[in-house]
Amino acid sequence: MTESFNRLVSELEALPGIGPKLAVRIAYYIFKSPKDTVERLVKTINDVKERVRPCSICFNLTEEEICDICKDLQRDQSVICVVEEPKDIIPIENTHSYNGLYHVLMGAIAPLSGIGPKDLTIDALLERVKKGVKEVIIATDLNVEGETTAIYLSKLLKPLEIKVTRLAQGLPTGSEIEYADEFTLKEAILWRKEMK
Amino acid sequence: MILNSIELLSYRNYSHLLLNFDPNINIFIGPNGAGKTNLLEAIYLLSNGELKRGKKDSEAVKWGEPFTWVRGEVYCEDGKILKLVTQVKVNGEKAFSINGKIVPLKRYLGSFYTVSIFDGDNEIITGSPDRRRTFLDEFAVNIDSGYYFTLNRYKDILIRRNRVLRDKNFDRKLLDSLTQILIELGESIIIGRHKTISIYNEYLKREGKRFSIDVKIESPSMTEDIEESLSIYRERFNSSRDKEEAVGLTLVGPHRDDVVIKINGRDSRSFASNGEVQVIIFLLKIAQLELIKELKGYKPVLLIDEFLNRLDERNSKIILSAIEEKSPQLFASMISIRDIGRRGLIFSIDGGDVIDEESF
Ligand SMILES: [Zn+2]
Repeated sequence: MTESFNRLVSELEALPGIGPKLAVRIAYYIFKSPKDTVERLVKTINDVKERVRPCSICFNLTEEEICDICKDLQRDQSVICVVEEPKDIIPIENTHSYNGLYHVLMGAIAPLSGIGPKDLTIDALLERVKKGVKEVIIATDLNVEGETTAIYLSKLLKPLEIKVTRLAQGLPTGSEIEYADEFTLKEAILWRKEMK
Repeated sequence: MILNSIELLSYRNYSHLLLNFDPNINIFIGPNGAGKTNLLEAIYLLSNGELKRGKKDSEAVKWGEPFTWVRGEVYCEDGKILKLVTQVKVNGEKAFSINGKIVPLKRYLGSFYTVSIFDGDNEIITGSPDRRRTFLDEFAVNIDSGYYFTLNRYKDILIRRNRVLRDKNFDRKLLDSLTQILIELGESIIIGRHKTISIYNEYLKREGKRFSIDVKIESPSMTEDIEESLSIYRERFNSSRDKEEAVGLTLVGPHRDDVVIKINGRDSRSFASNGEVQVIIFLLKIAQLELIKELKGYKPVLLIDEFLNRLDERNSKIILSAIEEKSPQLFASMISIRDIGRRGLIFSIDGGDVIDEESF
């Protein structure tokens, strides 16, 4: 193959979930596509980089100062659901069984990768909680990092005398919220357990 | 369970080999280094999805070949016939199938049970505590497959906790969080081991009578009472916390607990003679066989490498009669033929090949 083609393939391969075969397929698809389709794709990618940023309250993705969820006053302002990444909000919203607010940590505590509590948005969460929140639902992944983060948060939040709950029911140990099916996730939200 | 046949492709020194077995006894006979152990190891690999302790799986692949295949046909007590395949690539990657369907290792394990006695098994007695912990844990996984998960999770958290302990300005709450998870998992492991030890001891007591010896597994960090054992764990853990911050390591827990095998009340590590070590190993293995039979409803196949050669006359008589009584399908390797009471097949092996096959 040519040099530019190979460069595209290796850029694509670096993306999550894309192996060498798929990278070649996508690169070839791009090569065959009309020029304006490719230009639109490039522009869309640029727009995301330029316009999308974290919500100044909850760190969800937004193109304004504050995201749609934080702006929506119909939502229950006294409950915050804590997730690791903005993408974890989507499956929870899809269950239509949660009507509170969110807080995105932007990761999880991972001592082995050197990600400590200070690298996450935990301070901002504490500030929000102090303004009249009654319950915090911790929806971090059920793997080692997510569990560590959940217990860490509960130790911080419990002294503030609010209810701290954890999604658990039915979700298999080790699982990631992003991949949980809708029904299981719905059950897990409805039957969330208070943390010890 | 009966292993009816085995087919090897590019396995060790064999390009291709197909053997049909006797339902009772199969003996691999030949001089040292003839390749008898290789065949027993192929059966072990088929059953456990990996080579025995201390060997890399890729060692199974014949030199210059990309992968090896071990295929076996197993008859189960409930009439099921299993066609099992373990494939190992030269880079160590493995794949497993049952009756033509590719399955993950988790599903594959527990389809064909074997109990084996190999040369290195003496280390269960003479080796470090780690060896005896592994011995118990392997069996606990048989009782409860969730235990495997708990063990791995415990190891994961342990590494993370030690990392935090070594960090000069660690976050106290983070350490507390990891401690909380670690202790919960540690307690599940202690419960699993406690259960395993008490099940084992029941069988050891019964089977030990044959040899007029009293073999018992004990852990210095546990008592007969499980609740008491758990509170001992928590207490020891808490009292070590200042020290572990100084050394940057988690000092107390199932990853460091010793396990002692006692013979007539004394620690077998220092007091058992060579002959007694052989007997204890045999007792542990025969207990394992009985336990799997009882818990899973399948009688495991017994693999014995060179073992019978190392026994004295008296013990070998008792052991053979014990095997006859339990009557598992037996695969044994020997240097020369000896009378073992039952009928079966002899495979003569030399220069890494099966050169003859006859019934006796
Ligand atoms: Zn927001």
